[in-house]
Amino acid sequence: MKNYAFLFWAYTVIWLGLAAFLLGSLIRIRRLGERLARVERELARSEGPRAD
Amino acid sequence: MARMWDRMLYALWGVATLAIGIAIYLVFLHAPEERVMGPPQRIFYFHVPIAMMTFLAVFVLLVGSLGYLWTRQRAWDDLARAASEVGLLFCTLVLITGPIWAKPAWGVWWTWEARLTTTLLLWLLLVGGQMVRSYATNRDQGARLAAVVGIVAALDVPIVYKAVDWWRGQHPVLFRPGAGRALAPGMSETFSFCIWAFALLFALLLALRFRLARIEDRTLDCVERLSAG
Amino acid sequence: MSAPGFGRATYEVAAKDLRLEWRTFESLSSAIVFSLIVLVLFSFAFGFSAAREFGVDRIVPGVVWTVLAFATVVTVARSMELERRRDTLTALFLAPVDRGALFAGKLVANLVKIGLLHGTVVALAALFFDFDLLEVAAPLALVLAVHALGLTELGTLFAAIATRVGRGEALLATLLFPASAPVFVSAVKCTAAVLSGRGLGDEGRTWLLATVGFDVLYFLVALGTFEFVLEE
Repeated sequence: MKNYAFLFWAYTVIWLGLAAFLLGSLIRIRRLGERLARVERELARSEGPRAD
Repeated sequence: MARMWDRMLYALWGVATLAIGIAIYLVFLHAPEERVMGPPQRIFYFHVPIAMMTFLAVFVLLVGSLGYLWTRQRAWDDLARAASEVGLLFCTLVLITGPIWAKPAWGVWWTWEARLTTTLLLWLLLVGGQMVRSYATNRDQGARLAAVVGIVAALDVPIVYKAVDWWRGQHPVLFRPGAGRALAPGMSETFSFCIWAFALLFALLLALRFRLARIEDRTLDCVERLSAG
Repeated sequence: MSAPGFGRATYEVAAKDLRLEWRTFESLSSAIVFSLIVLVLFSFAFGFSAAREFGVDRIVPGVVWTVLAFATVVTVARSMELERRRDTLTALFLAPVDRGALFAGKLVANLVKIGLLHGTVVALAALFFDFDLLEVAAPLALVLAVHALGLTELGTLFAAIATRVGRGEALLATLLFPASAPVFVSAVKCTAAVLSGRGLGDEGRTWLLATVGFDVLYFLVALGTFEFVLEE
């Protein structure tokens, strides 16, 4: 039965690691996407009125 | 255009998830139990594919680094950056699961054999690359310097492997699952499938990280233009 | 009016560096003192009796090359740091010379310093661990030369990178040691073969040749990428 402990821990590590990376990436993508949208709007506003 | 990439990303996600699901089924329910090592042997089905993907990541890092130095287009650096991070993740997983597998299988947590040592040194080189990038004073410098480190590191991996291999001399090779002797039938297709499943997972993570890098770049570009104008 | 050729530029860069070192002797002297201290530390760690007991070729090569590895880091880092302090790197970069020559010049200067350093350390080791230096001088010199070249090449390149991001020896060591591990392994093997009294042998010769290949490869890589490191 002890052998199952090793198996369990190995798989746990793998899944936790991958999940953390995946979730982290997704959250960052969402947050950055929002920030980008905001910044682009500001940019459009500040560059818009200029007639060049 | 962006919509098409999005759809492809979702598709990749779906396929990767499905593949991993099937892989788990195969590993635990299809593959026969190994006579000598017992349950812990099943770690090998994930550990080895993850290790393979690590080296694939290094190759992508090399391509991205060369591409950036050659063209100076940000997208190449984003590719290199994504490959470096995903590679570091996979490398870490290999280094953690390796000893967990080795202990019940061979009685030792670690041994200085070619593959392990190369993986450890690779880990250090990837970390070094990340450090250089974070210490850099601006994006361009970070990208340039990280690219140089990336090239040196990528070229070094096979050299380090060969060197440690020779260094070991005539020592018995411990970690050769199935070397010389073929894997039992239930095992070999499980193993092959797992390789593909993890290849898809790797592609997914790489694509996600790349997307993240692109967004970061565009955001920073806009911020720069804002503060300039 | 043509820009100086590769050879001339290399010579100029190296000469300037060495002239500076000759006047102050600072980097070499501190590196030698550092090496001496580390050597003493190893003597405490392993002891003479151990060296005699296990044979000179078992402990000494590892000890010597560890000391040399650290000393190389210190020397090369200092050499780059000087450039940064006087901002001569930028000046060099703006000059109309082949970028590769800048690397080659720096490399030659570093090699001279490292060469002197290695000689001193090996002599000290011969003293501390009591082996006959004259007997093995020729093959040992060859081993030192080939492997020092590999270490110094990567050291020079990484030192430039570390200096560019305002960091010193710690980052340099983090980058250099993993990358030059094959050279280190080969160095220890070859030195052990030479010190055992049996000469390089087939195995030693293979390692030596492989390291020469490594040296050539990374010389070209560094030559090509140095300009990207120097850019502002």
